[in-house]
Amino acid sequence: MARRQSIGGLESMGLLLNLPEKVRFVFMSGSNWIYLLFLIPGVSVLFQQCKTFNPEGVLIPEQPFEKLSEYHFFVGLLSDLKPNDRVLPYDLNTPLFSDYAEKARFVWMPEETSALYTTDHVLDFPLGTALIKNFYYPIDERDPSLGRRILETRLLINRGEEWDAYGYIWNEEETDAYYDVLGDIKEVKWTNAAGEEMHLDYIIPNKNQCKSCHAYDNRQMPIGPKVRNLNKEFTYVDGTYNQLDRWMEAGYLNQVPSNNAHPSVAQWNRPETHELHDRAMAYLDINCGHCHNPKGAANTSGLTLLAEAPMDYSLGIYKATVSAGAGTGGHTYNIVPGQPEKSIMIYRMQSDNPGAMMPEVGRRLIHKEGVQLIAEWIANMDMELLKPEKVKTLN
Amino acid sequence: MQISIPRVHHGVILVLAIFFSACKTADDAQIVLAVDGLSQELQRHLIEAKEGDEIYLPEGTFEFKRGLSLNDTPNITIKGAGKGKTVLSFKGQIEGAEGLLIKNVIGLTLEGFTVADSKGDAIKVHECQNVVMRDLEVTWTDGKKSTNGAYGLYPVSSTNVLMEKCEASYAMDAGIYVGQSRNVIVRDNVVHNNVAGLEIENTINGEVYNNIARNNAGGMLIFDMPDLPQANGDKIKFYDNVMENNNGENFAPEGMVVSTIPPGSGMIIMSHSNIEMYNNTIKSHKTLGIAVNSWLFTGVPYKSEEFDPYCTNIYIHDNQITDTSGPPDSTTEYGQLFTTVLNGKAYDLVTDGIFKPGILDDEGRPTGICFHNNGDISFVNLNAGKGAGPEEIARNLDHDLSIFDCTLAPFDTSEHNAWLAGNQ
Repeated sequence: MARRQSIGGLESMGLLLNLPEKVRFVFMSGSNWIYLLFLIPGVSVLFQQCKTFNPEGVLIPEQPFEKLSEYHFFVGLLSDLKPNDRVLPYDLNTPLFSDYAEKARFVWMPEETSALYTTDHVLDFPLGTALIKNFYYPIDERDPSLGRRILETRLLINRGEEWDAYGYIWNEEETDAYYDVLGDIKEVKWTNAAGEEMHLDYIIPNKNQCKSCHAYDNRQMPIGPKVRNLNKEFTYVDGTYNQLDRWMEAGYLNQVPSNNAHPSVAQWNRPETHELHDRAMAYLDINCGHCHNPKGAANTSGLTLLAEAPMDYSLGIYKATVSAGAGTGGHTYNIVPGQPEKSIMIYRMQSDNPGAMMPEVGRRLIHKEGVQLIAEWIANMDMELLKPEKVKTLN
Repeated sequence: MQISIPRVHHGVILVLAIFFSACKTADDAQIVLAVDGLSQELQRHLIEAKEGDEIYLPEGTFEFKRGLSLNDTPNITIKGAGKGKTVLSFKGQIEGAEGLLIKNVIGLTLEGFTVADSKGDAIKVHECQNVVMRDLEVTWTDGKKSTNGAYGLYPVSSTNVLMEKCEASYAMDAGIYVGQSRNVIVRDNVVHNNVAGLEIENTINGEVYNNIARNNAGGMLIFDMPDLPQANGDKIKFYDNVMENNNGENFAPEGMVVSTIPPGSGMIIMSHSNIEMYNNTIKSHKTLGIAVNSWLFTGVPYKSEEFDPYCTNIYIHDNQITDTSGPPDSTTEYGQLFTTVLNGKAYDLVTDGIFKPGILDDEGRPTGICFHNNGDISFVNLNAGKGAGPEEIARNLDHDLSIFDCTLAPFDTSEHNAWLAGNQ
């Protein structure tokens, strides 16, 4: 109850009427005139009628719905993921690698609310914001018309103090997805862009695992939607626009500085438009920085892998490992400039042993293209320039 | 959507009243898990845990494909039927860098179960407070393999930690590893066949006593490592422990600091401040009984301004060091020194002689490094502060134990007493 949004007298009205909690929350999230209807005797009849033309506003309950469809994030056939009014699709300049799964992301904010613009961390989203991330594999990456298989949908809902994470697992028929705290293991097969047959026991994380990535200072938070990651073009149904512009238009962003000079992180896989170094840092930022920051789960390692991290020891350059376990691969330093083959970072990215690999969760496959990018970046580091000026040894 | 207003029955009210009053008196819910479906149900209960839950595990061996985790909920107890009786086996683990990962829990008791064959660390307790780990076993059942998990029992960045009556074996780093923690009691544990038996690292205010280390490559370690959030350890009392026959092979992969530990090492102290080590039994080691070293001796660079790479205020007294007999290890660089510059002789007590600049007094005695009343022991000071190459060491080493013969005032480690009193 403590986390509940302020809703004036509506909650007590729900209590008075002795309605189940779920239903009471429907009141809060729907539009105001529905509440008024409830004050009139004989409401249920009226409500039944109203339902036909406005039941579809997004609903955010206090406890997770059993089925994904109950939130009304999507209209029409659920598996088409066609967003409801005020549900905006978005993507990121450089996304987290998740075993080659593709992701369809959406954001919804309660009416009359918007996110505060900030470049320090993720946007300051209003209470009740929902981030909706659908994980799917195309049948064949070369031919989207062959369709896709949706496996899971993860919701992050802003409750104020922290965000709640709810996982939904799609049924085989893809008619709906069901709330499940335990996650699952699903066998998937697809054909990749190179025409290779891929297969994998895909792991849907359990509820506690959400926090192994999404914890900042032990509070559960989103990772992706930062200005620098959102600052890109996106193809909407009505044309291609910059996402920040579209969010502003939709009333989803406020206090945006007028200079239009928004930061932007590189797209990791676009060498034609972005420098190698920027692409590598963007890749590390989204794939590693959520744990490897001073307030993240991997702060005990002393390694900081954020886009803004200085090119020095804290990034792992000539840094000896403390507790890498099997992850050293026989190497001494996290990064040896010019020598990816001697760098622990590459070894751990190339491993699929749960006791050695990085990231520790969220992948089972090796991200070959990612390894290639980071290896190229390390290979091109200037060995002399980057030698830490303050390395202390006896001799 | 269907909306109905339930008719409230008097019986329902009565039942609800009983239910709520029961909740009030029994805040601590006891959850007894059945053998069937335990692998699923245990994780479910860890996810849905409420403050004060006590989760009981039955006897039996339970297989897990995925690592178990618990976050944030205070006052949680997980209790098995006893180590060796309740076995959580991770032999088929395909996901998770730990067997059991616990993060940010205030009030945690883990007791009476075994974690076997996790792909990474066995039990990691991260950023927790008021932690009891009792009668636990962690092990890897295929023997000494470099693919075993690194740490067995692994509290890190935690405050008020009691570890007792546990057993840890076959870890490819440390069987018991306490890292960057505060107020720690480690007692009555047995560690064997690990690379390092028991390691206390960057930890402040601890007592380590009545533990036994056998057949590890290195019996017990008290280390400070550079470039960590808790930069330096401090105040560790280390007494009544037995380190015996730690001559096992070092099966850690190269690159790990622990892979540099020479097999046949009883006890190694590195870069730490304020250690009182007394009344321990260190016997039958082929390379060294006790070593007192600086991080600088490893030759590995670091950056932290805060990190103090030197040992300061180390008081080693009244220990029994016997049968340090050689031939010393030849598989590690440090071990090879014993052959190349020490004529293949093992030593009861060895120091690298790299001390904080300025601590030598007028008579050349290192202030605050005291080795006192340890019986008739063999001793070597490598004097590597004057040069760490083998030739320089061969030229500069000496065997003068008398300059270290001093005593230090005891220090206070009682910060944990109030908490500990409630957990005896």
